[in-house]
Amino acid sequence: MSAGLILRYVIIAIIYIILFRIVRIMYLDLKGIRSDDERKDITYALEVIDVPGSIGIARGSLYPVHKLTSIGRKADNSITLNDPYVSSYHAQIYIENDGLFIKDLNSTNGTIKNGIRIKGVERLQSGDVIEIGRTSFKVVE
Amino acid sequence: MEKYEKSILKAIYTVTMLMFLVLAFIKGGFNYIPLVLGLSSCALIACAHFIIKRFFPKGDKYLLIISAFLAQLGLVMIYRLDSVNTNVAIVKLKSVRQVWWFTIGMAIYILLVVFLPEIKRLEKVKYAYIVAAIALLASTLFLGSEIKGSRNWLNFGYFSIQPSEIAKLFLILYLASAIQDIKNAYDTIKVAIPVFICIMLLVVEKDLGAALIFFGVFMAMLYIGTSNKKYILIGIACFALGGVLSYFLFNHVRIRVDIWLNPWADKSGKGYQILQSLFGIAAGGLFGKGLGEGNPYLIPEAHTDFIFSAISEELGLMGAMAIILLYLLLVYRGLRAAIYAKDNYSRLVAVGISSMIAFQVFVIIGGVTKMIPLTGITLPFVSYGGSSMVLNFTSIGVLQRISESGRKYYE
Repeated sequence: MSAGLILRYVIIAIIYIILFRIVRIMYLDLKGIRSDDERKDITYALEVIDVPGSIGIARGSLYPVHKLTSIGRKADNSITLNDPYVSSYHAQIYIENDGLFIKDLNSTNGTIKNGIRIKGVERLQSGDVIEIGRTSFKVVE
Repeated sequence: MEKYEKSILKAIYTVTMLMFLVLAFIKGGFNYIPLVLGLSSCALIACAHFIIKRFFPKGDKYLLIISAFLAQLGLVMIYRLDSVNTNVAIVKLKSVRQVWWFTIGMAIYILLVVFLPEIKRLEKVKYAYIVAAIALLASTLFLGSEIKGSRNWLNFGYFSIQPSEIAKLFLILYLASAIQDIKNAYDTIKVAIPVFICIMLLVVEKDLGAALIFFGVFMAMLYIGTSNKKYILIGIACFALGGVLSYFLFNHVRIRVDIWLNPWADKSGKGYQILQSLFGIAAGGLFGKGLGEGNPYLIPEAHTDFIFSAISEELGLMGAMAIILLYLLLVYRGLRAAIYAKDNYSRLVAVGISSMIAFQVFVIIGGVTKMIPLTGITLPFVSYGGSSMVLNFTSIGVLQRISESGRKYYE
């Protein structure tokens, strides 16, 4: 009889241990996403290496690449290039699984990586040169 | 992360086997059936988890773990209730049939994760869903058989299905698409009309619980989809009006409300169910009477609608709270899948499914504890019942698919 009594509490205790562990994982999961972002935020940056004076960006300035960086002519992009050769939403640069990728958003004049116009999504590496409109960026780490 | 997952699964297997072991020894003798049930259900979970972990590691594994754990707890309780009738053939035991339904549910879940295309592609045939939902609900009106006072079953000889369960998922698939197109109040009315038809059909069929869930899911999705509080206020006003009207129009609605207000008025007749349920919950106390020690079989329908009272009696308030917390976590995981979903359609489908589970839990647990008028529906994953088991695992499969294709950093 007393064994049954103990088992009764043991069963409930184990159920709560399971619950506690699941909650803990979910907490780590929420925390993990945040710290992931922080770590990846500063991994890559874009250095402006060539730009026409009319755009209003200084040569040599650095743009850190966030988990999603958008480039275009409209003001709500992460990087705004006030250049008629650039489409409203021209391209996106994002980090996925520790790799850096660039995606052309069907821009009119295209996105050029190391002298070749890209189709869709391409992987970027440190040292690659991207041309968007009349502006050139270099990927730095 | 994987290490934790394994330890959680191990703890789930341990507690399940422990509970079945306790059940194996009740009534003095030793019975091997609960051990077989426990081992087979644990093996089932292990298989499903292995497949998901191995081939679809990007998805959310906790959707599976939590729902499977709930199903395990339900199975334990259903066997506990079976153990009262000793002279029933093994294959006819409800728990044995429930294991089959559990297996079928898991199989459908895995098939959906493997073969379901991007959820977005399901959007193309949105009108087919609502037509199917209304047809399913109407079918019981003409072909259905009345079981326990509700005309919501289709009988196929060996088994019978509850079309309103399937209609729920169709409704969500339709609403997720229709709500995105809402631009003004006129559009909202156009979207609401088919939902209204569904709810009316359910009220006429005396399936009030499902009607409540349809309404709740519609409101939740409308609010998430349009973020307009006005629609919700109007919806609640309509609901109040409809509730009062149906109280005076339909006898079965009136009976439900009267029992809720005063179950003692007819304590051996219409109020019997709810009173037995309350006695059961009260008898359980904080830690419960222990598995096999209580009298949960005194509650009518203890294996389906009133399984929560049976669990409260044998596992106590602590066990009952654990069940509610598990649902809370499941709904949280569902909404998390919605947040990370890639497109609006998947997002709204995930919201719809999560809110469906949440409302279902609220309506039935609220019902058996006499917080709201009792309407007979199943407790998802826990209750005995094929339609509900299969449909719930189908929903979890869809959620899993959404969680897997989401969680990317670009659009």
